[in-house]
Amino acid sequence: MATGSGAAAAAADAEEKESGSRMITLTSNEGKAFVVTEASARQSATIRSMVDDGGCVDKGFPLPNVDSKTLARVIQYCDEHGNKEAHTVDERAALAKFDKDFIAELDADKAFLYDVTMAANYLHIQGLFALTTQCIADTIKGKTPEEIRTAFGIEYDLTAQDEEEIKEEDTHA
Amino acid sequence: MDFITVEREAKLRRPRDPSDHSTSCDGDDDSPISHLSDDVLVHVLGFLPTATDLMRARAVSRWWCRLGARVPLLRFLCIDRAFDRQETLDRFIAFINNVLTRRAAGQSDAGVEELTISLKSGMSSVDVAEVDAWIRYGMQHVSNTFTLELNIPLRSGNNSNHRYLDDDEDDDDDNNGMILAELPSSPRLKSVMLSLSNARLRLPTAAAFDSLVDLSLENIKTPRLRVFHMRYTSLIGKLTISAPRLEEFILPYTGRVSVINVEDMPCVRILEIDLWLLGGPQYGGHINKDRIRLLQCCRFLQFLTIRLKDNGNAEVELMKDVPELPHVTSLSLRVIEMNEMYDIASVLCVIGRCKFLKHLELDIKMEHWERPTEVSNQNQKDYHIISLEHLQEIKITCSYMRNH
Repeated sequence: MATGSGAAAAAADAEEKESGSRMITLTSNEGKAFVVTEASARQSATIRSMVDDGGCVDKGFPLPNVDSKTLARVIQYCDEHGNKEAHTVDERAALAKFDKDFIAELDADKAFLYDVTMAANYLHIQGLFALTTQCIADTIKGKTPEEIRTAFGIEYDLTAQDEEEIKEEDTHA
Repeated sequence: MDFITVEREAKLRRPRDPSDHSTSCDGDDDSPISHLSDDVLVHVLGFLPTATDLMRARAVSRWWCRLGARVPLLRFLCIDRAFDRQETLDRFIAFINNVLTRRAAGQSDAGVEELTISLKSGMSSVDVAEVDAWIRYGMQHVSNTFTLELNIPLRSGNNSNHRYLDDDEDDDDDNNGMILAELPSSPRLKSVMLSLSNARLRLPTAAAFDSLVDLSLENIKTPRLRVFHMRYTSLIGKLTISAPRLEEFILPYTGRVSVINVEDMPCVRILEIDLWLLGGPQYGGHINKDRIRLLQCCRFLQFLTIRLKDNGNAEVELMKDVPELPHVTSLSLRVIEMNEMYDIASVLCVIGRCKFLKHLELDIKMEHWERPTEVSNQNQKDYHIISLEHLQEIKITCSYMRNH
């Protein structure tokens, strides 16, 4: 009996290990396949629910809204957060540093930052979405409308009426 | 982006403007930011720390203007020294009111899920009628979290000779308190945080104000209200609450709340109150009676924090009315200025009511105490009646206050 339960435990252990190291294929809209660990893929709530619903793990997941360049970057984030532990203070600090460097690099290429943001939104990767949207908001805050236009390359298209309306509301500017 | 939708919505925003032939958002479309969807940009704008930032963002382009109106979070923060100028503050208040009016009008502007108004200034003042209107607005139009933090003098009306906020404790009580009209019902609001320091007015003795002297939350139907925090509202005369589904009730520093009137609140799990005697039993006694009745109304409490201060022996008698609280698993007692044996008796009395306690925290600040650490430990040991079989964690801190 003892050996039996021991063997069962070992089998369960092995299974758990296997599911931990199960690989999942994500395919970009350009048809490029990315193989990631399940832990990494589970950073995405969208993929997580598909996997948990017994979805076609073997066939992989096509992501028609995400291009290869963006997907590669998103996976970089998911790998870091999915495959690494964050239990100790040091581990958490390492992750925080990763996030900081990750977003600083993205911030240098605004168009890419927006693509990653949209992908994070589509894939429901909460941490990444919060990171990128907060970064964009940080660029906006404390700036005048003109400064914001410059920062984002937006053309002025308000009509006199729009302006009037905004002025009416904004009495304290 | 869907141009048709954009144009249609842009028109909807100004339905009374026949000359408005909306153009598409060409400018934005050329910029990389147009990679973002409307919803995502609304989310981004929601991260802006203040309504002022949001206002500026709305002045960027037609697209942003439209999306800015959809942000459900409004945070009006005035913590800048610039607002010490009355004129600046008044303009800011007008801004708050403009935005709120617009949101309440509905149309294409989104409702407000979270409203924060935080005003801090020592120099300028706010008309109490504004405060009244904000509170009513918060209760009526905010669907989730309403925070009002005022650390600013209040005045009554526009009379420049207003008298407000002196620290004369001997005022006729009839003249003290916040003016608040009857609050409307709030079927949706989940969390209210009112932090109204300085919320004290000396009102004219006109009869019209008589019924408004107290903060009264009487008759508000807040069936879904789950969290209620009031801090620094030390000068409010009356608090009457009917909130049957309240789960969290925080009421510290309210030494002068003379009447707390609560109905049964079986859902309250977290309660924070103070029990202290100020200026003799004729004054403080009924405060504590109210508090004890509050405890009786929250029979299913799990987390209880009580601040005890300067109890006289009359209080020990009162403490015996503390009900049995069998669901309390976590008790935190903060004793301030302990200087009599009575305090220990009160403390032990409360602990004795919480038979199934798992976590006990005792924080004692002492004055003129000869053997502080030993006394508390000794009393724990000597009080044989209290048996806390479920206790897992105990934390006792004593600190000495020396008078120089």
